[in-house]
Amino acid sequence: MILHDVFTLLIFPGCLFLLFLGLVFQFIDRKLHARLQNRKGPPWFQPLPDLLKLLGKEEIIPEGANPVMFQLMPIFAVTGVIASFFYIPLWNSQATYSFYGDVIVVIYLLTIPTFTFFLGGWYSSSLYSMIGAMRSQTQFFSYEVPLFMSVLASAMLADTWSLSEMTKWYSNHPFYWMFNLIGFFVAVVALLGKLEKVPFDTPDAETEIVAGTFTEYSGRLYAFFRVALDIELVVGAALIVAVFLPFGFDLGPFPGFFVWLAKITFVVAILTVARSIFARMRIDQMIEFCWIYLAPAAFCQILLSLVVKGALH
Amino acid sequence: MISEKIPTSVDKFKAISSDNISVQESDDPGDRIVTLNMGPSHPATHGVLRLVLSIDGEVITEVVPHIGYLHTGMEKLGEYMSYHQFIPITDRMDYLAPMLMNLGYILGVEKLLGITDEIPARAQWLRVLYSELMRISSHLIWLGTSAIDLGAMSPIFYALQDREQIMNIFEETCGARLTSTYFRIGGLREDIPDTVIPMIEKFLKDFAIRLDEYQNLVTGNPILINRLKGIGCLSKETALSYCCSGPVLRASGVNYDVRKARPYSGYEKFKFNIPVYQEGDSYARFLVRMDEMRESATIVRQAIDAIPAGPVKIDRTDIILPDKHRTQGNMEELINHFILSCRGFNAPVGEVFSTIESSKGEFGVYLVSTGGEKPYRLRVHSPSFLNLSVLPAISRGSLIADIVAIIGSLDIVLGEIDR
Repeated sequence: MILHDVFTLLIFPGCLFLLFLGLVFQFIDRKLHARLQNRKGPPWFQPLPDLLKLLGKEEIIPEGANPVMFQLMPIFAVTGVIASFFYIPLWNSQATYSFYGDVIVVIYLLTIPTFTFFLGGWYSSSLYSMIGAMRSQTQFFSYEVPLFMSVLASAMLADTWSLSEMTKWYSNHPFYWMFNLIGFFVAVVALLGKLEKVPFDTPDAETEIVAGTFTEYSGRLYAFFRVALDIELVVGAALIVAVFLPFGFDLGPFPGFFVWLAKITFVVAILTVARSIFARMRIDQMIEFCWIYLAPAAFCQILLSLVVKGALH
Repeated sequence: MISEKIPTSVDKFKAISSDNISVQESDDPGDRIVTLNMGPSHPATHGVLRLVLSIDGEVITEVVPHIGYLHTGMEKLGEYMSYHQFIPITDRMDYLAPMLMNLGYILGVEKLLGITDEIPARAQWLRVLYSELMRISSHLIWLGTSAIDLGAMSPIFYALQDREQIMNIFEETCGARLTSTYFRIGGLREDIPDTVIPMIEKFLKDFAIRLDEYQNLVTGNPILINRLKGIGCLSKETALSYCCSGPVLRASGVNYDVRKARPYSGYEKFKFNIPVYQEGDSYARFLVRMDEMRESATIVRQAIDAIPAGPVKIDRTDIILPDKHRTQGNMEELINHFILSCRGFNAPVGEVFSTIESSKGEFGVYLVSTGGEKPYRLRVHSPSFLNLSVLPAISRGSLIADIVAIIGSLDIVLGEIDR
């Protein structure tokens, strides 16, 4: 039993599997981005050597930085995203672990990386990092509310606070997920903000504040942040897939797995296309966009869910 | 909104240790201002521009541009080189538009020699043709890099593809892609090969489609418009008082283009419009350059449709190297070839100032000659330098994200500023 848990946590579908998926989807993201830009793109194994090389590099801690916080934050970021993955149903409607109310926990755990970006940037004693940290925090307050509202709308329709219960409900009520399409788009846009991708990449806007939060990070610590972002891409996409695209759970392990991969790829592809075709928004424009367009759209989704639910019963 | 959270720091540049980070609420606005160093090695400073920003949160209260990191002493070099020898150096000034730099310098020397009117029509015509191709190439680089500044990574790859065609045309013409050194005092180095005209035709055909796409992407893109409209407003009066020129000036509502105001190299024979916008913001500067590319394409079209026949060099072998076959049968030409190669020609005493419209603005050369084969003084009037000087005036009060957009819209090249 303990061995099984250890296997689940560390290997499948835990850390190792998730790291592998993170690298695979980093490759898909980079390759698609390159092809959209008329470039050739990296070979399929490129993310792994990139990671290994970064892990082998010297890590420099700035003189004025708080060494404890500076070194802890990347680890916290990775831990947060990995922990949230266990509560998300993947290719069958039961997550690895689940309990009533895990929707809140998953969303809470997914905010941890953003906080680590903030704290890591704040304690690295560089102005670029601090501006990046402030921006990531400012941005966080804008996209988090629409994201939570859109997930909440879907949960309301299923009348449960557990992700596994939600997917079960949607499996038993096929095509009800189509009522959540507004929420799906809201969540994808919010995920762009969460992953700090163009057009919401103000926190690490390369041409403005060099690398934002990550300016002072190097070597292994930076590698951990990169891994956290890669895994967050998969976990965020998995959350969206579980909440908004809940179909194909009864296909059995292998077909189900590939259907799930296809759905994740679809979400990642939307993110990649967005980051290829858009320019960066200014931080104030980002906030304005999120509160004027995104939050009302999520609110409409909640209303729609309520109406559908009322009609249902 | 964010400004209060940025910690105050007396020791502005030094690292702020975690112990003394504290949010001090102060009524004195000067207390909240921190200094941020941007560059010289920074992704958005187009080479080696260094900006020292005083920021209050994200709001910029003061900008001080520092230049000189690419100083090569080109003006001084000019005093130690013969007139012909200096042409390759001009390539390195605005390295995104080397032919225009060549032309600006060469027209100055020709004016000094008094042979401006004797340049063969074909040479002048080809100079216009290549200048306009160069202008398109320079603006394409601007389009890509300023889009990168705004966070859009994709356009540069498409812009570089178009530029690649122009580079291939240059390579076919004179063998060099970037530092062409194709124009010579008294004409061109050699006539164009026959293969070039079909290449230009093909480029014009492709570019017309691509330019429409670029235009749609700019004017139909709400994110880009939001980032550019109303940012870095430069009034007509400020633009004139800072001696701005080129697209920056024309975006502020001043209809001034050297090609129309003081036509050189036969520009008066071409029909083209000068795009002028009244707003003076970054968006207007964006549109001016987009329109300019269109106009340049029409000039190139007119130029290749009616290239006059004739020689491409002035018939003065004491000024320009004669063709090789002539030196082998004629003693005088051989002597001229020898003298030109090892010493250069003697210029008359005098001083001239001559300007052209480069892709960045009004590029001028001031030459003082006391006789002899080298100028006494060579001074370059650099449009990028003057356009950059307006940056502190127009970026005060804007956000950090805006200053990057403003620098992108000013389109500076540090090689020409530091010359």
